[in-house]
Amino acid sequence: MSCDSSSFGGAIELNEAIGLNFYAPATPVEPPTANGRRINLTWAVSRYNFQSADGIRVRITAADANLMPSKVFAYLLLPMKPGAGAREGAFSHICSPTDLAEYPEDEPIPGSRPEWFRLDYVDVHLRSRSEAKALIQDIVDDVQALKRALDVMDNLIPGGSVWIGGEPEESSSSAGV
Amino acid sequence: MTPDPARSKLLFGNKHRALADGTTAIAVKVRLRDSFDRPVPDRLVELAADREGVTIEQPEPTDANGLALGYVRASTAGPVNISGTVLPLE
Repeated sequence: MSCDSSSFGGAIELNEAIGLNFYAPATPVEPPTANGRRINLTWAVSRYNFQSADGIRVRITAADANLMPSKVFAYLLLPMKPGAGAREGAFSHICSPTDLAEYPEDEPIPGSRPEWFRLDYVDVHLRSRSEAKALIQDIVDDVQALKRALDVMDNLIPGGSVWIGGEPEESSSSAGV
Repeated sequence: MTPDPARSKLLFGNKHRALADGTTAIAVKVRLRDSFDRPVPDRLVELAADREGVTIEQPEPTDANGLALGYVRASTAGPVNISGTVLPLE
């Protein structure tokens, strides 16, 4: 920059530059189905009328699972009435990876308390369409979360190797031959 | 009318950071003033970057308010300093 040059109509360099910042595009995320783990959820909704009470029946079935079990619905065996001997399974939640490992399929382990087990369907009666829609969305979200958790567990701990007590020298290993 | 470097400035036209995808632009506003702080019209300002990977769409001559807009795009991430030079009259 020169004041003299500006006086004679030459190039004038402005005093201050401005600083801009350009950032890199986000790293593309690996497609979620890259490892082939998948499960198919199918739901059927119908009306029911029981003793003049209208309601909505929702049945959600899990099938065609790959790299994960299709029995992802956790049930707890509970008495039908307080103090009654008869008991039936009540749907509780979508299994976590730990639940999948611990809870048996189809029926609880005899003598275990509490009596958890897993099924591949859930069949519930609800009061309204909005409750039904909310349940379906919750279950889809939770099964997606389960699938993501299983994906993460695939790569949770990378393989490794370490010598305890020092790596053997080549001379000592060849001496033994 | 002669631009005064002390009173003339480069300004952020819209934002100071953008995606380095070669398409997203940051507008740089040129404001030329003379020593009496009057707008300097009809002058060309050439913008320059201090690194590679930056494309500059040079501004048109300044308007009656002494203003002009240029656009800066980058294909590589990182900071870049933009300086301006008022070209001599032909």
